[in-house]
Amino acid sequence: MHHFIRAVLGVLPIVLVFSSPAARAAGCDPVLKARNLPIYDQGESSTCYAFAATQVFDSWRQGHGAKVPPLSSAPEAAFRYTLACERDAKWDDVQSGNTSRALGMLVSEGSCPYASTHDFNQDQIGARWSQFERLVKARREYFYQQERIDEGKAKSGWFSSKTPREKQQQVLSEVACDVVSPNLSPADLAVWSEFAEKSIDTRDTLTFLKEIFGAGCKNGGRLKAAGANERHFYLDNGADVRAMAPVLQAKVDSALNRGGGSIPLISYCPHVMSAPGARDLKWNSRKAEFECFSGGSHASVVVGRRPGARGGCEYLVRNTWGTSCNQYAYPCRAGEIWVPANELFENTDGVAWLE
Amino acid sequence: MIRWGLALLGLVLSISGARAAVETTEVMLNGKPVRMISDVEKHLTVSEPCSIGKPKSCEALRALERASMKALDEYQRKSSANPGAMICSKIGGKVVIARDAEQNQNAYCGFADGSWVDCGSLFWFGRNK
Repeated sequence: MHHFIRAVLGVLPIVLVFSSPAARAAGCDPVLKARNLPIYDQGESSTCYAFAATQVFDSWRQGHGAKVPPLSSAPEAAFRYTLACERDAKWDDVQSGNTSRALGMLVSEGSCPYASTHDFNQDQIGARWSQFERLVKARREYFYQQERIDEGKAKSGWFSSKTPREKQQQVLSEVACDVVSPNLSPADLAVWSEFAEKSIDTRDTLTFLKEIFGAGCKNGGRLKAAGANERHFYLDNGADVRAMAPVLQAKVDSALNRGGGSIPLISYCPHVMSAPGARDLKWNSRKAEFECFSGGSHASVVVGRRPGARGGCEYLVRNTWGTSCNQYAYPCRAGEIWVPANELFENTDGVAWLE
Repeated sequence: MIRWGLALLGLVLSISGARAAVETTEVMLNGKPVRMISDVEKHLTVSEPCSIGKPKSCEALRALERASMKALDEYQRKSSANPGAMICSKIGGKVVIARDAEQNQNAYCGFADGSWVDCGSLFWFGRNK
């Protein structure tokens, strides 16, 4: 009897922690997912959307019986997404890729195996990435200006349309301003000038990069997530961020509770992970979009949940800034950070997942 | 006897706990093994020739003083890239991403004297300046 009482008392704290009404009511049943997918580091490339999307994609594939590895190449997905964006003005610019669209692209077209994309990966393309982005932006800006010139000419008749060569020179000069930097060697500049010139001549030249990064797919074929459907939830324009936090949390819970390797990705302000208490997400009425006050918006996957030490839930954010924990103020292990629910979801404006 | 045993155990645990704050690991950078020292409490990981207690003992530690988010341009500040990696390039370092056997990755910032600092440390030290 004595031993029985002692055994009960010993187990009681564990039972209380993991099955207390508070924990259950808050939906904090412990979950850990995607344990055997690697931690990535984007380096200097602003391709979080592609890294988050490929992780959701690979976790889903693995949960549905696919052999992993091979893993999906995030750099390839980023390039393909950028090329698609570049063709469709309705899509976001390359600087802040739309995570749900990137995920939708992977579902509909498949991904390229990471190991098959030659020797290119994010650190090697990192140094080129910003130049590439600026080139695309300059090019888009040019076409935008050209449309306005043409519109003005049609209306007033005194705008003079430029010859194709003049157009090319104008964009090249814009690009040259962007690509000339202390870190760029003359040889690099020559390569980029040639690339810029070709890409201006014909849209299809941009597919050159797609060919490079997609070459592995020709041999190995694209990785597929058969039967998957992309789902997402984004805050409405001007929504009350604090009031909507429980709704976003419920969407993340729903994806985590689902079987088959389902993990959600979130669009959020990463500043919260190094500055507890930060409420960084603001509605910018001038731009008509949510933005992070302290820096850029970010995307990461959420791979776990547990009851928090001070009540409520904590969520395990798997970031794509490497295995380091030095940049975070919360409990962290190998690049995964436990963030309290209120802190995380009051800095989040969207969730996407597969089902 | 039991009391002495418990006291000894406590002492051993406290020493091992204190030591746990500083860890050493080996990573492959540019194809060469590099020993890194991490002080978890200080949010700092640097390569072994550096001495954490001596801030000027290598370029990597001196770089922490120059690390600054404000040094980044608007385009970089609004980027979702690893902020420490962007700071690295801004202060004269070179970013290299290390991979372990499980393909886990982490960016380090290398300097001319051969010293390295974790890009996460660069961000932590530069986040408010």
